[in-house]
Amino acid sequence: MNGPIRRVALGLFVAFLLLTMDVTYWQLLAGDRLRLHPDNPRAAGAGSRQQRGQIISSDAAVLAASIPDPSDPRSYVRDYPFGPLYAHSVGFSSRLVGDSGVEASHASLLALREDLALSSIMDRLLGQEPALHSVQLTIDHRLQQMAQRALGTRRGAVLAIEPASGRLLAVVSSPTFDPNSLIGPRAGDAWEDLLKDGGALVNRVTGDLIPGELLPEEVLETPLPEAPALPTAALPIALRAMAVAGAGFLMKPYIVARVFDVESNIESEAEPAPLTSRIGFEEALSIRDGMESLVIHTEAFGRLPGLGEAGSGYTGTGGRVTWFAGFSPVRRPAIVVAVVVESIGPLAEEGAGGAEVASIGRVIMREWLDRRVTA
Amino acid sequence: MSRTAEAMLVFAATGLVVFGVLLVDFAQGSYLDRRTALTILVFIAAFGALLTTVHSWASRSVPYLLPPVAVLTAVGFVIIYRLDYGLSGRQSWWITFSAGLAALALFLLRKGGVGSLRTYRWHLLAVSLFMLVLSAIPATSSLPDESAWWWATELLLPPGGAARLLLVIFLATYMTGYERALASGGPTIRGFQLPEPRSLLLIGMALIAAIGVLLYHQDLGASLLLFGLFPIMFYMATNRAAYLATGFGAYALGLFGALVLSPSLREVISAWLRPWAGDTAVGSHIAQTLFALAAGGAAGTGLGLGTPGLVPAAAASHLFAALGEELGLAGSAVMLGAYVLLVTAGFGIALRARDPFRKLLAGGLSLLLGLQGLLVLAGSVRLLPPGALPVPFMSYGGSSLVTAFLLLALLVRVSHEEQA
Repeated sequence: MNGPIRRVALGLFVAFLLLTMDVTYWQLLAGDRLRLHPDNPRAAGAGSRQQRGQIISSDAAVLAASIPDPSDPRSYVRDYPFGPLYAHSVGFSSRLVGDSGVEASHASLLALREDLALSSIMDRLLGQEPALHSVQLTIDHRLQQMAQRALGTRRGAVLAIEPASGRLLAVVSSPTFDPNSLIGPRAGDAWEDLLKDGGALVNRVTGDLIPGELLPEEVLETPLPEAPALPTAALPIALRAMAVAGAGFLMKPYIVARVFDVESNIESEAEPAPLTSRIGFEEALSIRDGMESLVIHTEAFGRLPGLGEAGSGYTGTGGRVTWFAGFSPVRRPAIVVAVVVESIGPLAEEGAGGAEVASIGRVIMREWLDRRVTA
Repeated sequence: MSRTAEAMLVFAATGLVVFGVLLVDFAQGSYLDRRTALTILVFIAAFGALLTTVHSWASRSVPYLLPPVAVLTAVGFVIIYRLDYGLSGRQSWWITFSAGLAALALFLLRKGGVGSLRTYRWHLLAVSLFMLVLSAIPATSSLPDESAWWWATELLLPPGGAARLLLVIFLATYMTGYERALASGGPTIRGFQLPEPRSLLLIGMALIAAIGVLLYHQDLGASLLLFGLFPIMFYMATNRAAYLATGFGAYALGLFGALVLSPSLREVISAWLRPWAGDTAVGSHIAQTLFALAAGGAAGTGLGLGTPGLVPAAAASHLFAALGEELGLAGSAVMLGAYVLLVTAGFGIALRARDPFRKLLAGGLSLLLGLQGLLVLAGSVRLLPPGALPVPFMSYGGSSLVTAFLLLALLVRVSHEEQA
């Protein structure tokens, strides 16, 4: 019997050899192609169980924090205390879907730990949680809430920027979703539902689908279009209004104000930088002449000194979009606001809805100016 | 190699558990807790007990079997610990239990030897057939059982592994003393002599069972393993290639028939051929295992630093993908090397055996181990459609660990008897 047993053993040995060659192929030769494959969730940072630092607003509201995973207390999941409010700016870090928004752009920094520092090792051995880097945004939590309320249930976006620095004050896109739903055991179902509906995954500030970048370089570098042909996302409209407000000069928008190190010292701070303007001085003045003066008379607010323009256009899918862009006050503007609102259904009368959209923008500007006066 | 060297190698392998668990903890920012420390101690105790048992009741066995088993079990445990902390607690329990059962088997066989199994050949066949019928019960849930009786369900299900082990023992008992009749063969058709009729009956039964597995679970690996044992063991007993030709020829026809009959099997095969289309569960399953392997590269991402949780069934049949991601090609090679060592040692025992029953038993057990390792790994690297076979000694699960350790105990015992 030794002959056939030896042949069977040899056959298995050769098969194992072939298997090893195949494993080598997938692990080494096919590696790069597969690592960059669009369906590979690793590229988006999916599957992370690590603890991450906090993301806080400029007025110190905690927007994202790591909490122990209820199903496995030794790993962490992300928690978003304000749910849907920051889905399109802070984004999410989901084991299943990956990262988006600031969670994606600052993923490595937030997860950075000083593993080899002696203090970190001691903390670990003593069972204490090591400190982490945290990120502070430029977003003003109160203004963000206000913008969300002003937009209400409409489909659209609100973007508020401080033109002197370029810092984003509020970033709202609606409809939105609760990023907490993408955490935990039911994340798969929630993601399926979002994919099926689709509307909530569109970031109406950029017009991109999640997970896209919040401030894509290509939008910042694109020549600003003419008013009647403005695209239907809030960011290009806001950029144009910034250029007009600055008489041809504008600052690059940014959302991360500063990064704190493990001992809560400021590790780095964003420095406002000018953006190459695509609107000259003369052109800015001529657009400014065409703007309506933002004078409103209400019992509560009184006069609002500012300029603005409204218009309407079509989305790529044929929906109608009404937009508004404005800044206030006229001299040395403190805030630029861009609002887009989609209306579903048949095309309404030209210009209708402009007043409604403009009033959303005015409410936000009013709030910010009043805060400055009282501060 | 002496028994002392064997013991040192086994303890070095258990050192892998300590090292691996600490690395995982460190990478994930957690810390060694009391339960994990206890788990490691239990692991070391289980292998210590197994070594002692082998020393007392199978002292003349070859010392090459336990070290690779310890390496495989240790690495598998670390990967499960890394994937699922909760599951790793149960796995250490199962490892201890299985090592205990292997010790018990060596104790029970200490007087009668493996030859005593020959008395029970028909019982073995009956139980294995019952287990095969049991395996037709579909798994109700992929989640670990949380009820108070979880250990009972995990011990019994899936029953396929136990059925295969019992079938191998049965085939060895059945063929012993009967090899000449099996070899002399059956009727001749156009110069091709068919195998002996009674053996054809057995192969036919195996074919029905294997095609049943294919239709029921769409699992080509499990089906091939169940069927392949029969013609290959007949070939080992008789040196007649006609068994291989008839057997696998019939299987090819059966596979074709199953493809015609079952649309869900056709879906599995087409998703396997085109996994990047990305719209089928099987396709994304394959893609995820390959993504994990590719993410590993040569040296791996490091324990606890990859994302092997993205691979479906990573703690069970696709443990290899999780290992490949975090330990890289280096880790894969160690694992493959340990299997080849173990299977080679098993066939070595068979080749040196003088008693035909023990020779066939050792050959069959090594074949089962080697073929199962080969088929389950092939399912993880797209050589076969992904299946649900467990990786011997590594995958999570009571039933598969118990089966693997009993197989080990039998090999050790055969080796002991033959060196006597």
